[in-house]
Amino acid sequence: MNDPIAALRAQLLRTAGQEAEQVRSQAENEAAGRVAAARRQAGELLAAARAEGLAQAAADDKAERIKVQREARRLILAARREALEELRSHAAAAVSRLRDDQRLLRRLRDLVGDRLGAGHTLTAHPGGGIVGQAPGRRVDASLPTLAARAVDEMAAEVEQLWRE
Amino acid sequence: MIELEYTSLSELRGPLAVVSGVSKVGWDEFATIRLSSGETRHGLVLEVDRDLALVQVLEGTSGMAGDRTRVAFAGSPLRVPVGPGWLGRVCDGRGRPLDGGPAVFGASTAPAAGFPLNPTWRVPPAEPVLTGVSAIDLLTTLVRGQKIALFSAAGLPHLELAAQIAAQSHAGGEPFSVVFAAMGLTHADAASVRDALELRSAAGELVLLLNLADDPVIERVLTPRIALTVAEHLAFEMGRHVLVVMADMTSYCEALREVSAARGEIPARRAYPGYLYSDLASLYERCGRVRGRPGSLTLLPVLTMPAGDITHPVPDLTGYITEGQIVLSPQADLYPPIDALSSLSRLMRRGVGEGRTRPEHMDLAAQTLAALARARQAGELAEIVGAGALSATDRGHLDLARAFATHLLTQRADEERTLEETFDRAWRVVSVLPRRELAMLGEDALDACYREGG
Repeated sequence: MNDPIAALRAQLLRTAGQEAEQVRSQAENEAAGRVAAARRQAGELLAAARAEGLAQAAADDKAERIKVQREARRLILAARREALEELRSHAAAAVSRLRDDQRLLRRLRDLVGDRLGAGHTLTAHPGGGIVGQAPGRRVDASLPTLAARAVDEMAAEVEQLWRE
Repeated sequence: MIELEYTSLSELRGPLAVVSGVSKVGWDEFATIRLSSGETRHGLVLEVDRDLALVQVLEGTSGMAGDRTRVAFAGSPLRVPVGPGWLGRVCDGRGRPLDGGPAVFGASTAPAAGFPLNPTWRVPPAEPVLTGVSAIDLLTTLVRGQKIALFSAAGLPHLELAAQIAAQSHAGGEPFSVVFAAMGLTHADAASVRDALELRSAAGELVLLLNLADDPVIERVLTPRIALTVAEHLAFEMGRHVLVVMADMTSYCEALREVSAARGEIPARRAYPGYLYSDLASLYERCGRVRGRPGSLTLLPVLTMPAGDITHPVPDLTGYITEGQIVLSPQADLYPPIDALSSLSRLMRRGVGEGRTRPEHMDLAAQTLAALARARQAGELAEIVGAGALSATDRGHLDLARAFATHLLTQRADEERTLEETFDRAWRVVSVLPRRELAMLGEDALDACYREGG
């Protein structure tokens, strides 16, 4: 016998099936979208983490290079300073051998006298050489002072100590 | 070599000492002051009247006794040894070593005040100095021999940017050096500048002069002069392209004001001396190029505008002299916070284009600035009518402004961008707009570089 609601049932079933298909398809699309978004996000996170790691590594590397360069530079400059100090002490030692040179002392007395004019007094410096004084004025022609100034005035020649 | 010393100080007042009984002493002469303790200080002659000389002691007069102090005059204003020995050195604001090395010697000396250069020997600035900072290289390109100021305000990272520029700048493979004159810096700032510039220093391309906030103010007045004297020799005698960064010029001007007050001069605007303009010009005008010499001296003074006031005498007078400015904005929440629309390099045309940077450089910079200007107008309009009411073109310009901030302007403090990378980013930014909106760019450039769809 004919089922009077068979057609209706079939139609409902079809509609339900279509709706279910639509929902499933939507769910699949949504799931695919979410998975893709999650993958994209994961990729971005990974890339960001990688970039951050690289940047950090580069920063650490740079910091380390700066530290090493600074230390190397410090050692070089300290060695140059020592070379200069050694030159100064050699100059002071060399000049101290002239302390009894009467010609030099006479020359210094004349030079000091010229600078100070009349009424000056001269005193022997314990390190050699002389110091002249007049009211309000003074001339230091002691050998240690002259040796130190001579090194200062050698200027570019001093740099040859570490340039060659 | 035999030096006459004066031993009668008739008065000591603040940083000033009056030496009596002097003869043949001149104004601005440099003086060495030896204390009974063995300590040595330095000074400058401010005034001479008959046998009296007024000396400003750089380190102050505390501890000096009138009858046991000796003053020797050099016979000339301060002279600075010049030569390659400065490269790689870190010194204080007067050129004394801070790096543990010996004093800097030179084959010759030059007056710290500099020689006035015959104007007819000057050659107009040309060719770029590339900083590796995209916004500057693209929009306000530094030109060799130019003076361009960096205007900032308190709290902004101007020092960081100045150090970055000093660390990265180059002249495309030609010999290049940087002289960084830091004035009135705190110890922390000085340490960060040293860190940023360490590798350049180690490479023997940098001279760093550090005048700290607690150093004598008159030393601060000397610092830029010493820096420029050293730089002039490197540029015009040794043929190097030299970038001189002077930060912070506001500190320098405050020191000048203090010295002027100590001299009893009549104060002018905001108590700065009336000669502030000519004093600044005497520094800024020492940059340039000289006919027949291969080197150049480019000047980047950095100044903080007190309370952000661009009409303050220091930025105001600086703006009259310099050939452009890079302005940092407190509104920009990014690094470097350069306000592209307020920044300008007046000589940029001489430094960019075919054979220098890229053929389309001027057009691309103009197009970017025009688009940013329209984006600013659109942004203001959007605040009134809402973004939804804007035209598609205006919304496109807002997108471009965002892309500019994200892709071009924002840059790490240790990130050096090549010119190619900067142009690549700039084309990505302008390609946010439809091609028809890019009317300032030539068809050839658009065909080669425009990216359809942004």
